[in-house]
Amino acid sequence: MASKSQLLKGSLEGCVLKIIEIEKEVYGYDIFKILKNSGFNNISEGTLYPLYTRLQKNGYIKSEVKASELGPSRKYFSLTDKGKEELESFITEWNELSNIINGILKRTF
Amino acid sequence: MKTKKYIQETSKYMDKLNEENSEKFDEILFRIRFSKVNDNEAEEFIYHCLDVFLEAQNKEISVEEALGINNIDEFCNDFINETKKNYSLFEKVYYKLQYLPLMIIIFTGIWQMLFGKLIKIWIKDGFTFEVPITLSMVVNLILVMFAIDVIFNKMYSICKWIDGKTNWKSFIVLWIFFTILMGIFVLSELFLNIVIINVNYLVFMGIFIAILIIQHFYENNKSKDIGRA
Repeated sequence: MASKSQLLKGSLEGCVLKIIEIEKEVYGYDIFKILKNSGFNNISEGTLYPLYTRLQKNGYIKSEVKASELGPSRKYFSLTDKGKEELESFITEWNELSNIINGILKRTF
Repeated sequence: MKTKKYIQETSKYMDKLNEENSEKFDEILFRIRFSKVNDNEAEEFIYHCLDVFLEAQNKEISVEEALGINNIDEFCNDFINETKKNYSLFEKVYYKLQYLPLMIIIFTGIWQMLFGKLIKIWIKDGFTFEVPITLSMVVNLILVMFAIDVIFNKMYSICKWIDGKTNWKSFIVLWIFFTILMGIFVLSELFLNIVIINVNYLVFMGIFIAILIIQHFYENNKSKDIGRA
């Protein structure tokens, strides 16, 4: 049986895109904190950072380096048009899938 | 940012870490730098971790809490494994054999051909750049690549293991490892000294130096692509 964390991990990419869409421009570590506060308890920055790189390589997000008060400059991510399309497609697929699963789970046979 | 810039910036801000966090950060730095992931991605991640460490320090929380981890080794493995998942087949093969041209130049070129075969040929047959590539050279090169692969992949575990053991035990294990390696070198020289092909030393070196230059530009372009996306 897939655990809760595995199910969440599978939908991580869509969730990250949604967070970036809401926040407009967001620092990678802030995405991690939002995910953590939303229930992604088993996620670490080690898993998330390669995901940002993948999203950038696929052209879904773009980044800009900005100065920070603490010292090291920070990379801020924002959504591209391609990313917006990908997010729309994720939401559609997610709704379809959850309808199918809910339908089966509620069925009494 | 370019890889060099990440390394410079990391060195600049590392001093701000307290002793406890500095030790933990060194572990990440060591583990990620010795992993076979793209240099630019590795240095960017190290730089990002440093920022998270500084933020944790500023908020007076543990780095484990800030990074959402229980242990640093697992955290680094997550990053390495997830990063490798992003690579195409070409990239996977490339990072596996990344140091092969350099090793060929160093070991086959200088060690074997120049100091070994080439000078002997010059003394015997006069000034020429035609040199034989023997089966023993190929075997020895594969062995060197294997040894480097083991050392790179296991460096972190080896150092952790050595840390916990008495010096003489680690000395004996390393001595046995290098003795076996040298033994195989000698045996292959004795029994596999069969000429496969004769090559022009200058052309041979030229090809591998050209590959190194192409690698340099490939790495540079790769870091620019990631930054620009």
